[in-house]
Amino acid sequence: MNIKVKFFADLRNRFGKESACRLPEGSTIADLFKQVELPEELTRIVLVNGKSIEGNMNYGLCDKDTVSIFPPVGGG
Amino acid sequence: MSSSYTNRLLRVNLSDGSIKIEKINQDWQNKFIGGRGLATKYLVAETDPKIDALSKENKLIFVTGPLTGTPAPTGARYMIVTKSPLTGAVACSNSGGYFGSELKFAGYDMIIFEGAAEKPVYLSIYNDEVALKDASEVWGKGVWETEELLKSAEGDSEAKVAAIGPAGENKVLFSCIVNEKHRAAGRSGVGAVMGSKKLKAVVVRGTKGIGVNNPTQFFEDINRSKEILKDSPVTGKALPAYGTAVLVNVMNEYGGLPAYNFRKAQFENAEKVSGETLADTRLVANKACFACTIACGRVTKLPDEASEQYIVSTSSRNWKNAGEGPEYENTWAMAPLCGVDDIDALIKANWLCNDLGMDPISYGATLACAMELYDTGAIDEKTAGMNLAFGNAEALVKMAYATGYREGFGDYLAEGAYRLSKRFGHPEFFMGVKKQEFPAYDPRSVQGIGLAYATNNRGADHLRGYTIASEIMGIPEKTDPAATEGKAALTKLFQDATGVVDSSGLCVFSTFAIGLPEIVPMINSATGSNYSVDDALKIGERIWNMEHLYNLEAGISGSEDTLPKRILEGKIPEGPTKGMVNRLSEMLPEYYKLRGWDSSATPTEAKLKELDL
Repeated sequence: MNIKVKFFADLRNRFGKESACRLPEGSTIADLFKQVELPEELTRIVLVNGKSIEGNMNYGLCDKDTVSIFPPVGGG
Repeated sequence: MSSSYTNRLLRVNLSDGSIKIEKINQDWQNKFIGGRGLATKYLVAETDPKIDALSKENKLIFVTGPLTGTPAPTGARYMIVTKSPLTGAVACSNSGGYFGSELKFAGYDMIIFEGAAEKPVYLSIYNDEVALKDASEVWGKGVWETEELLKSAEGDSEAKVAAIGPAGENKVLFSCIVNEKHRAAGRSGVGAVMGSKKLKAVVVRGTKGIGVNNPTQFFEDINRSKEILKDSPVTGKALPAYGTAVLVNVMNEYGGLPAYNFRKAQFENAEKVSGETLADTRLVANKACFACTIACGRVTKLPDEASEQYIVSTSSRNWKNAGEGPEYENTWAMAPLCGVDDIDALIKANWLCNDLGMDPISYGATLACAMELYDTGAIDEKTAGMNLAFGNAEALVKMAYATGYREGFGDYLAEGAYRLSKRFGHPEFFMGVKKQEFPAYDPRSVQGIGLAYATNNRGADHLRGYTIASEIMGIPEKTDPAATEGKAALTKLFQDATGVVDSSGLCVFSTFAIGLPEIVPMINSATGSNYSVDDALKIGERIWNMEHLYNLEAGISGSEDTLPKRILEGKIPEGPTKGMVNRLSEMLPEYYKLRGWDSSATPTEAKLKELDL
């Protein structure tokens, strides 16, 4: 399946702004991280189509999902 | 006993010109720590909550906390406490920079201004030499030029200046007080109170330094906090690199970035005005306030061609093409909320707000409300004086100027979105609480922040109960933004804890890494007090209730603890949070119960006794 991955803040220095990934059916966020070689500890907020996975690395992905990945951030 | 308190306040009567030094009430200091809590206690004790905020009966209090001016990380904050002309509620606006620490170095914890001057004046402080001086030369001038002229008049380039601009002089209801040109006590119209007193500025220079009670322990305590702040990926990395505007993309991807006056919860061009784009294209350097290890401030520069666009007929000094900001809130209010995606117009409008002395959140939100009035035909180009279509970057810049000077349609904008929307027959277009405009998080997408907005003592605002930290960022623990369960307790905890942070003189951004277990020991070793974390939280609760009681006496009842119909019933039309509304009724009764208030938001006798109020 095809997954669009969007990176933000300093993750862009290493992974660029956006990337298209091909993953086998039934893949999870953990599989995606493995494929793009992204260590989980660099991230804090992961959204799939805008919905927070709430730390669930076994969150199942579907074809054409958009995954937005942020490092720990704060603001006000 | 050495302490980081100076234990002195300056009382300046602008009506008769008298200046007195008084000892701070020690009982009140113990009960409220300092800063926001202590100054609010003075306001409550000395004024009637029913007064007109712009009358000479109102008082304007500049106050520091016990950690202001010490080397405690982020110990830069001072606050302005007064009655707000925008909301009619208690106002406490908080600023960083170097003014607060300088006031402490001069030997004062607080200044209370009372009465009103007949002619423009400024207060000059050089340690124990304090005088009211003629400000007619700088009346009418922008904040930036005022600062330079007054430093020159005082013959001291190291003096720190907090001033109002034309917006404060013209009593724009969301005008602010600005120090070091770009740091502002921003919300609730504290600048208009200063303008009503004909007080243009406070110029302070202090050389006395500050003691602490237990230096060995104090440096152990602050070094521990500094290590935590340095090691945190938020305060040690993300905020210095991208500033607060890193949140633009976060909130937009989630579907919680209000756009087009809250008609939508996502902005299609958010990337163009994001913290990442700012860092890549317009950022020169980051910048810190006094004693801050985070340095989230943005020094920005426009390209030459952009600095020539949207010129307005103000001082040419405004248009040197370097300045500071914008931050997340300013970015949101003046760009996505107005449908504007031109980062250079945003930067210009932000600088203009700083120079005019005007809160960019309320300005942007009020302009967005006007744009909705325009879009629906409630006002036309003739009424507005120009095309106010959503997305018009030129209107963003030009209307800022018109608002600050109350020229043409700007005179209506200067009253804020609540009054503007009512004037043109559409009160439902006002997006805020207690007459103050919302900040940058959609309360339909994030439930807890909706409760925090609805119950906030200073009207819609994010800084008195920033549940976003938990609901979006996972600090200190992640909670589900779509859930209402547990949000009453979360909101109360954040509100009470923030009262302590504000009263200490630290910046609320420190709490992305440290908490009361680190902050309370710093207060103790600096002052010689012996608070526990529980004592501090009790003080935070006391402050919250004191502010709330002030509002009740001012005539602001529990019925105003609510959200606009668009937020409670108008579903988000598209995007990842499509269909969501704020479910306030699931949280508010539990919140009142946890607060020890009855269903009309009146604190019970038992609660007042418990809090010694």
